[in-house]
Amino acid sequence: MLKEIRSAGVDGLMIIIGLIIVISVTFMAVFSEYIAPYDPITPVGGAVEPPSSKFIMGTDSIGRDVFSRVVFGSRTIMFVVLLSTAMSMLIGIPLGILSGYAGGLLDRALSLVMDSIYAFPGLILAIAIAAMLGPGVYNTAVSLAVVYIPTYFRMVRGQVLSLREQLFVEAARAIGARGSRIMFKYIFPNLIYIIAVVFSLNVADAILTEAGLSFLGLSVVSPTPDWGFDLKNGQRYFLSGIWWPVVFPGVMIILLALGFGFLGEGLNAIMGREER
Amino acid sequence: MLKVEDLAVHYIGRKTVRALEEVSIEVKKGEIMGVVGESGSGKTTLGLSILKLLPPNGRIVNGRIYLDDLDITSMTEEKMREIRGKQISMVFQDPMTSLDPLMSIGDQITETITTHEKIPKREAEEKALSLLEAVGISGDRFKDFPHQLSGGMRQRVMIAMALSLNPKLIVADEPTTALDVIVQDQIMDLFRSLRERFGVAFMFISHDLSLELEVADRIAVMYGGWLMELSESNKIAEDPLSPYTKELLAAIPNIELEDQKLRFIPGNPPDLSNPPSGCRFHPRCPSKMDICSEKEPPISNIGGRVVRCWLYGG
Amino acid sequence: MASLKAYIATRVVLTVPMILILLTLVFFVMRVLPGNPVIAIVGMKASPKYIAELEHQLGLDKPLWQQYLDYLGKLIQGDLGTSMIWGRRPVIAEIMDHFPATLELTICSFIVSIIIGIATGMIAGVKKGGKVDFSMRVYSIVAYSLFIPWFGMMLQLIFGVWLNVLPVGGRIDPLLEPKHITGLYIIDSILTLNFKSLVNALEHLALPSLTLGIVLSGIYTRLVRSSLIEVFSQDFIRACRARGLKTSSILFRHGLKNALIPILTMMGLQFALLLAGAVLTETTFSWPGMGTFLMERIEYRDFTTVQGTIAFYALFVALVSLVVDLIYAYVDPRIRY
Repeated sequence: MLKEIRSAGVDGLMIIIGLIIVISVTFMAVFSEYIAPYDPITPVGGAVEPPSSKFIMGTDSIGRDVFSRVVFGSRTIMFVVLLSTAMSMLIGIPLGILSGYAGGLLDRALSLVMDSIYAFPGLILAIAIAAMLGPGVYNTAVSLAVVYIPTYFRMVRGQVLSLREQLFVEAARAIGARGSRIMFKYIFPNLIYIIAVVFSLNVADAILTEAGLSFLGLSVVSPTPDWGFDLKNGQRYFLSGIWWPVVFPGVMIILLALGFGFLGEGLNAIMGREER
Repeated sequence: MLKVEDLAVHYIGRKTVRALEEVSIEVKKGEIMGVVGESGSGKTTLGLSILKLLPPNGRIVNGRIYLDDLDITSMTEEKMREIRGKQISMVFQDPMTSLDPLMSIGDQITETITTHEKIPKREAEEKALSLLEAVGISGDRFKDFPHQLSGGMRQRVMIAMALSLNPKLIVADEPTTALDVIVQDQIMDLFRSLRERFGVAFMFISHDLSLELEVADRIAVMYGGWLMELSESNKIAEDPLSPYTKELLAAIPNIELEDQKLRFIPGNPPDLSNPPSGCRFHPRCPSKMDICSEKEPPISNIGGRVVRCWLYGG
Repeated sequence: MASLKAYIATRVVLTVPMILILLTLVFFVMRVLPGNPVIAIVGMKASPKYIAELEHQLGLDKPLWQQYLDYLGKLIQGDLGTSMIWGRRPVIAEIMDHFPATLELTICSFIVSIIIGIATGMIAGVKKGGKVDFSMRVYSIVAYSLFIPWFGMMLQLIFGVWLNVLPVGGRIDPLLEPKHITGLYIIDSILTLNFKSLVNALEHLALPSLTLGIVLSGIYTRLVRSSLIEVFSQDFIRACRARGLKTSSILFRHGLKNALIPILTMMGLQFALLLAGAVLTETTFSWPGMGTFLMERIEYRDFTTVQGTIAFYALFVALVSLVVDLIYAYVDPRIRY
């Protein structure tokens, strides 16, 4: 795969930029304690102090260091999004395989259910669930998970359907290859590529949805550091010139979403070329 | 009717590809002229040049093209647009990518007509209807969409479009390559009947010599951008002059001979950004002489037959 | 057009189970999920008698399946429930107070996103493979990643504060509200020839529609581009030129229709994105639409209204999805089965 990436030109560039961003933020999330200079939930300075050498991103309305909150915020959002994605995959993928393989009435019924959920505005569904479950990291993950189950379902089901018909599976069977061998040698490599693409693009979307929930006050409990949540708190003073509690967390949201977006888009473009 | 004189076409790029050189061909009124060659022989370039549809990096660097005494070589795009579709039209290999999937086939033929002639839509539609029938498609398929038709039928639609303004010449670039053999025959029959009925000439470009032998009046054999031989098709079958033509003929599988190994011409077509010295075919020619690798053979005319080979030159 | 009629019938019939599924989902989320919604509303400290009373009022003491049937029954009659606070107004009435605002915002944002999306998509599609194509693709990813509240706030800062040319919030200046006919200020002010209102309404619409419109335009870029590439291959353009057609007429007569197809295909889905994005846009710009309404009622724990509003969203989305599919079938002959 690496060989293909290097020969891919601009798409390769996209993948590399995406990877750099994603890895950096993951690093930030894992090693928050070592990167952040202050404790993110304790006030350490005066309220809304502008960026300085002491607080490189300034302080928020309660005097907490914005930079430390940004660093720890990466942990919150990565955790919630990855947890919810894992849940979506855990439910969506097996159901997709089942539905694709079984066909018939089961497939049509399941597909109808999944298509209906998929058609409903994601954020609004998440809002409804989050509102009923209450705030908290795990509850938020559940809200997001439900929204994205159909995505994985459809992707996997589509793959199972098309791969089942693929000539090379028939050819492999014709030369006597066993079912499991077919699965691993032929179906799996294709599947992994597609899962990587859908995963990246989906996570990008989930990040924006989580941030949206936070902005609406439905995700985490104060004082948990969370980018969207901080954005909401900073909104009050923003137009009077106090830009730093809003701009920095906001840029991080966009950056992380971009990172996964570039990754997914780049992989998608390469995959498209491979298929030719 | 159509006269190509000493045409040279190059594709400009980091390496300039000399796709056509010193090619002279004449197509007479109502004639079916076959142009045969391997890929890279320049046959498609020839077809595109006649309609001035070369890609942006293609240039006519020498020679002239005449349509009935009118020099179209350096004609402006504006004027060329009037000729395309009306006096000369072209049919391409893949009919699916040439058709708009959202428009009915009837409407697309009508569109071609109304682009060139200021006649009311009703009249144009009637003409389109009769054209469909001329190519063997039932009139009640007028409102059908491309995806509802088979490959062979789509190609007939393209031919109908090419025919719609009664052109003098239809250039068909590998029109049957994407179709199965039975449909191939049908399209060949169609060419013949259209020529009978409308007097339109065809330039039939293909890599399949056997097909051309069946339908063409004269055949131009191309290799590496050169015209290697140009003769009547029966003479080519009986008495080919150029060694290349001989090899092509020998490579045609013959179902009647038993125990026949499939013959092919060893080697690869030449790299036209850096063509071989002397005759372009010499690396693969079984009749190669010393002079063939040193000097380019002249174009000779032997009793009305054109051939480019040192065996006949000098 | 017999096949079209069959397609319409099929689609309409298929919409019913979809609505049913969505409404069931809403029921599940709102009733089943939180365990006891009453406690969620009034808290643990309320007296058991009050809780029981409320439970009875909301019909929560009935068996679950009966609650479900009641719920569906009421919905068929158009009853979305009654608000639990203040004047106990029917939810549908309250929604209708706020719906026009969201509709207006949604439509304007949609127009913005289509214009940008088609333009960028066409450029990318026709100039396939070059630097231009690449930057359009980058644009589509970047646009979608612009977190709406952040992007909106930036626009507020630039145009509302620094340049001071546009208002930063609200839908209209209180004194300039036009006479209520449809609830859509643009239409109402045109109908009553109130041009001051029209200008004011447009000024207030500008930033929110731009925000939501730009963010969603990226999706159209990608769609238009791939649809054009598919149909507008070099082969197609060359075949058209071989017939003597002008490049400009090729672009418009054949290109535009083909570019619109993917937009229509996705329009059902895009509409969902529009509605979702509208919630964030409304809260950022203090726009008095359904988004702000929903959030407000969640804060007040007006459970029945929240449920009714979500149900409304479900019905609305299903309806729009159906209409869009029908339009699409009319325009593209390939998908009529």
